[in-house]
Amino acid sequence: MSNEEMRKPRQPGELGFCLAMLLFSLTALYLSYRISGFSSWSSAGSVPLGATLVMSVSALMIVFKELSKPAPELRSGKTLARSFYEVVFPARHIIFVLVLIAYMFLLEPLGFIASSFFYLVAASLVLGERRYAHMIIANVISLAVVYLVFQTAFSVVLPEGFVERMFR
Amino acid sequence: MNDVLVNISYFGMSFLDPYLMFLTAAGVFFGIYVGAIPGLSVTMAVSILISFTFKWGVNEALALIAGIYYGGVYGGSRSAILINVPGAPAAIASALDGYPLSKLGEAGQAIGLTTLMGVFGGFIGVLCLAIGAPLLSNLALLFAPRDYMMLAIWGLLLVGSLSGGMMAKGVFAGALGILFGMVGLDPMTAESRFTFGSVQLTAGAPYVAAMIGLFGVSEVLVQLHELSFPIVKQNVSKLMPSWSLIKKHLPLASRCSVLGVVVGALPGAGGDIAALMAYDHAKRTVKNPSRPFGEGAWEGIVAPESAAVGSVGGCYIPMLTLGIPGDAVTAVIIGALYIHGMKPGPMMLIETPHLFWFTVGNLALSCIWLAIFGFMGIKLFAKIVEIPKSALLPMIVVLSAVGSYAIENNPVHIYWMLGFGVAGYFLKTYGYQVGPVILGIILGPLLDSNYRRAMISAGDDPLQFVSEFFTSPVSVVLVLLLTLTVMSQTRYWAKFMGLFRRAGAKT
Repeated sequence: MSNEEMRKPRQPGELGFCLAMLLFSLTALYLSYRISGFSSWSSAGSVPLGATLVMSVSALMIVFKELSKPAPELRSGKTLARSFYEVVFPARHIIFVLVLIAYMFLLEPLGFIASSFFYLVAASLVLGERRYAHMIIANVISLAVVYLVFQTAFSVVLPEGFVERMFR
Repeated sequence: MNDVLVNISYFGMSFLDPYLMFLTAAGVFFGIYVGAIPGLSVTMAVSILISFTFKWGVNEALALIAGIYYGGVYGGSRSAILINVPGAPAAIASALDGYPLSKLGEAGQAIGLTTLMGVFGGFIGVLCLAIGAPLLSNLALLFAPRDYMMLAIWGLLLVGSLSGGMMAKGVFAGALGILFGMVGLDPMTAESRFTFGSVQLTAGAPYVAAMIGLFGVSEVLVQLHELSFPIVKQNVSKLMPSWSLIKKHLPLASRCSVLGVVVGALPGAGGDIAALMAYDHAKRTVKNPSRPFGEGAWEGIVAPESAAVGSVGGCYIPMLTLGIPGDAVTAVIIGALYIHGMKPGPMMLIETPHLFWFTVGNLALSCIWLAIFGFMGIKLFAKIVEIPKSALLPMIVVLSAVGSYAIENNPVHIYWMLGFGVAGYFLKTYGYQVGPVILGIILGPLLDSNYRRAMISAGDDPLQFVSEFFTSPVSVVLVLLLTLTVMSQTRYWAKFMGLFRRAGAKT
């Protein structure tokens, strides 16, 4: 690592994430040991044990390197959680992921076309699209193309809903 | 003699079958735009697509994927030249001189020259694959399990160290991938590993959903930070570069294409590294560039482009002969090959030579389509690159979700996709690479089975196991390569090289 990199401050949440990775590695190391213990050098658990050992050691090295960097620069009066929210995972990300989760759960009950349409409209709005007519027309056309291509060229079975049944 | 004729007939298959020809063309066309749109990567396109080609025949799937790969590696340079935003990592070096050329009003000729030199590099790559793969395949028959084990480790170390950033983070990501690759029933003893009692997990981690999550969804989340980039209108009326310009740069293009093939053939290094190395090579060896480097030198676009497109053929060499991916894209392609029941490895050329020669022919066909589409549709291109991200990103998510669903018509895979997507976003944000994770998932099972075979043949005795590394020339060479790779990452290496240079200067 160059000196310049060393002087670069950590990002908000970086140390926490690296610590979480260390914890994850150690848990995985324990689980790997549980597979077949140290019974033999060629047991089913040998490579998992090796991989998780490498993970744990490198995760530990990463934590030490992160600790040697300056702490994240916080603007006056802001907490670490606040700057994590602002820099790393802002509202736009949170809403985008929430809309995506809703889409996942609606895909089967509503069918591909209806759920994808609602998702596309909602996600475009989250991303700041304000030309409503333009957005709806573009989404309808692109969904129609996607649907036809997948049904015909790729013969993918897509979840069926009320819109699909209308066209049959 | 008969064999040669049969192989030639396989080589020509995609040239003669209109459907395969169409699929290759569609792949190249689609690939150019995917590669050109900043934020869409070839890896993303291939990983989303492979779940859709499950139900296709092998040839059809291979044709489409080869086309996309070539188109995607090439396409990135267009946006690098026109808007100074490399569409793909392989085009980072092309932006250094490509964009200055654009500002000088020579964008059209620059695109024309990169197309020709890219196609030239592509053909050299295919030629090297056709000659090199059978040779390496014969050599690979001499490889013992321990050699495969070392190749897998070497590939992971290279991708971890070359992809930039902290070495420890690269190694961590590779080991994490191996861990995911271990999930499921152990193929040797049928013991379950990390299945937590779930029947679904006994078949292994859902790696297609993982790929789509890591390269599709996580990239979308990264892109959410920056929703707009500046568009500069360009005059692109004259595309065909003059013959003298082409002739002058052919020697450099030949050198860089070969460099690209060699770098591509290394496990763990792909087009992006090849392009940067070629740019560096041009900077060091060209004494009188047309303009200073960085200010619009033709050499500065010829070198990276021929190397990047040339590396595609190189990447296919270890993939087909050893079953070891050259970079993240080839790791995804290997995943696709497994799904289609193919076994990439030294036996592939012996057991299924038709698939090998079909692939070689298909890659050559892709280069031809690249030459055709490279000179077409620049106006359409300008429109497509201008698609606002507020429309593009949600569409990628829909395609990713449908791709994950299509694996088994099961919504569970979409949950996996989202999980890997969000995890991948945090990994990327905090400087971990996701490429090594995918490489680890593919290489993990290979590493596992070969290590254990080698250990069993050494009678479960670690000392015997280590001593066997020095019993064959192949193993010794691999041990040396591995040691050098690890050494080059430590601070002692720089000191050692410094001593070496000073000693050289004295004599």
